[in-house]
Amino acid sequence: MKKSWLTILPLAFILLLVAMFMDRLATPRMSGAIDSPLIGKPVPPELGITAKPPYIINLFASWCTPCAIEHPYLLDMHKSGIKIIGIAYKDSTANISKYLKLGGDPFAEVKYDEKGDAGITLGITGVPESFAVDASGIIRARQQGPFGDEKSVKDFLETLK
Amino acid sequence: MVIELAHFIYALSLAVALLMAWAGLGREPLVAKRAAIALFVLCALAFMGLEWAYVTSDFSVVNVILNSHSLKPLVYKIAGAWGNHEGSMLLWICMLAFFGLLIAVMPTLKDEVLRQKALGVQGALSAGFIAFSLITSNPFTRTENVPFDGNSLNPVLQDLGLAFHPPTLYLGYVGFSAVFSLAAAALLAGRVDRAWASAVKPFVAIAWLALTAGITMGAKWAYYELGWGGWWFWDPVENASLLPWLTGTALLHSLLVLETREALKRWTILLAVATFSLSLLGTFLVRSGVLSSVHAFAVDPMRGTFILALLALYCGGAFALYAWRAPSLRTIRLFTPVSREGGIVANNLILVTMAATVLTGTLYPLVMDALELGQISVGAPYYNATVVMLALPLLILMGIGPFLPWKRMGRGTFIKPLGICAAITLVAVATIGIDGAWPLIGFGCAVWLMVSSLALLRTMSLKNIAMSLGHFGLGLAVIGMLGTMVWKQEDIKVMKTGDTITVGRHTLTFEGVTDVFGPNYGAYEASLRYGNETLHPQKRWYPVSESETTEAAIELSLLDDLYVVLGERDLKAGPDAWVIRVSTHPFVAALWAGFAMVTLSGVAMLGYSVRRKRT
Repeated sequence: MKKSWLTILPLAFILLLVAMFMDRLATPRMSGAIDSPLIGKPVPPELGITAKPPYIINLFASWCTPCAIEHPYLLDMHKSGIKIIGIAYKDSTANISKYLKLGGDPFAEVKYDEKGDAGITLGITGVPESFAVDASGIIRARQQGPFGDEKSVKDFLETLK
Repeated sequence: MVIELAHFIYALSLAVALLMAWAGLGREPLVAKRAAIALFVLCALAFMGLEWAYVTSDFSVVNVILNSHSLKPLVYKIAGAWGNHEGSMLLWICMLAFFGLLIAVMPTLKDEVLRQKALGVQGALSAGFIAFSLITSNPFTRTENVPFDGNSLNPVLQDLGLAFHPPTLYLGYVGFSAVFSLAAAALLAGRVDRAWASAVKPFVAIAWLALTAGITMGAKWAYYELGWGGWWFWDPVENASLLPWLTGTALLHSLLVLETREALKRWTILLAVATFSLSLLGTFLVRSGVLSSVHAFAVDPMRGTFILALLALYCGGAFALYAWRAPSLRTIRLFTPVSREGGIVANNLILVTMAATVLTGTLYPLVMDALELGQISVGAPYYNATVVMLALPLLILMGIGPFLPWKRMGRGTFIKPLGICAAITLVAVATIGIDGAWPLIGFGCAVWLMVSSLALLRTMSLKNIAMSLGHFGLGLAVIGMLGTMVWKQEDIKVMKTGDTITVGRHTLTFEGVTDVFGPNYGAYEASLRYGNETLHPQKRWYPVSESETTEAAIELSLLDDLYVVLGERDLKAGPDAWVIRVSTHPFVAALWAGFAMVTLSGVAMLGYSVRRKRT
């Protein structure tokens, strides 16, 4: 049976492959998936934001329950000195001022987007959504949906460093 | 309620799959058989439960929210169920169970020990994947905040051909699981013989024809929908489907040798195990996020680890079994190089070399990255240089092989018909006249294959028809490939109303762009007059998912496809100036007809492999 060791080759090959894939799965890396085409690009001028970066852009509305859930995290960010530009998505000034009076106002500035144009510019799928903008005015991260815990806030702000 | 019921049934199916594995690998043939039937019923019910959620737009199910929308046409709601990782995994498992059922009832399978053991292996496969699905990618998960509407399906995927492309492909991938189970069972039972080859053939035929059809549908969708004018991009995921196809095709041929001459035992078993292993590898590559590709599902490391564990368990297990048992499978039969067996061995070697070449290209970037040698991507030039070179001798051999007699060195029997075919080929190629050495060689090989395949029909039998169809179809497809690769013509122009553009034998007049509205999209639609007809390429905008797709206008004819794409508006050139791309792709019809014939040859093969056993 001179040739019998040859039959082990396929097994050896598959084990080698598995080992390589294990290594690949174990090493964290950029997934290659694009979160938003805006990441790495400057803030679209159409939004009319004149504040000096860095800041956070947060799209919200008084009619949106997840926004209310997220609100405490925004207040915390505001307390720790982070500038947040709010964009009130498809909402009226009266409703917003009531909303911010009740829940507290974390925003350095609130823009009104009654027709939802800013939403289209930023390519959002719903409210709330947030974008992190670094000191040179470049968008670094996008948060789809509300911040759910301290960690999600931390990871998000991490991108500005 | 339906969802909870389906979820429960799904969990129950895990228990039944484990029972099937235990009974099959143990000593309970009847239990294994009944468990296989029960498993299929349970999995089918679970899948129908998920479909129920999709059809009724039940947005309390996370999977439905993420992949459906109440405005979607019904057929796409139904297809939405498998247009995502979780749902497609459930469909995958249904097919595993379906092939378990087939093993349980297949009349060509005469050996009950083989059946029982194969059911055991199939049960073990099913159990592993059901556990994977339930633990890491459960399609029945509910949410508390029920939204008003769903997030829709990617509009690029809203196409009938595409809706049925994945399930057909899965049928092929998963079909090879039955072949794998039967191979493992043969190793366990220590029996690889003619009877085994005959029993396995129908399964190989089903899997192979589904895989062929699935790949064809994918290529067709890419060609007509993506608007890039290509049909194969050597994307890692496309390669993942090509790999089992190549080894599956090799398997199909080596089974013939095993069935007729009881030779190539180890090799055939190895191919059977390797083909499904490559299917699993493809599944792993697509779903683990290890490779980036247009086909990739969302990345979740837990899933990748789980599938890798399954891959290591099943493939590692089967190859270990092979290393242990295969040496005892001795083949004593000898044959000369110039014989049918010799031809099939050569065919197998080329096909497996092709598979190895494609596998190398697909994994090379991963290996480079793992060894920290930098990030590299392997593209079309590599495959064109290697695979095409291997394809030419294969085409020539495919024309010769079927004429060679089994076993002995045949002499006069094949020289004469082959000589006549070669003469016809030479005359045909010389009369048509083709520029360039490579296109000429490619065209010559294709014509040669077609002529000699037709000559096979001197003796009409289902077996011969299957072989002739498959080989002729491939030759025809090669002509289509040459058309899209070598002979296509293209022009891109900024056009205003009244401008004309000429490409090849076609002249078109631009008549402007209007706004049109579909059920869930708005679009710019251009009008281009072409003879008596008007072509309407579109640029669609789907507001719900905020994405844009290109709908090429394609004028089909037997000779060539005229392909018109509407580009961007060019405001610099004027208010009504648009970029228009026109190209002609000769012989694309030959490509699809060829692939269809190859698929049909699988149907014919299934027909004769099932029928002959009954007599």
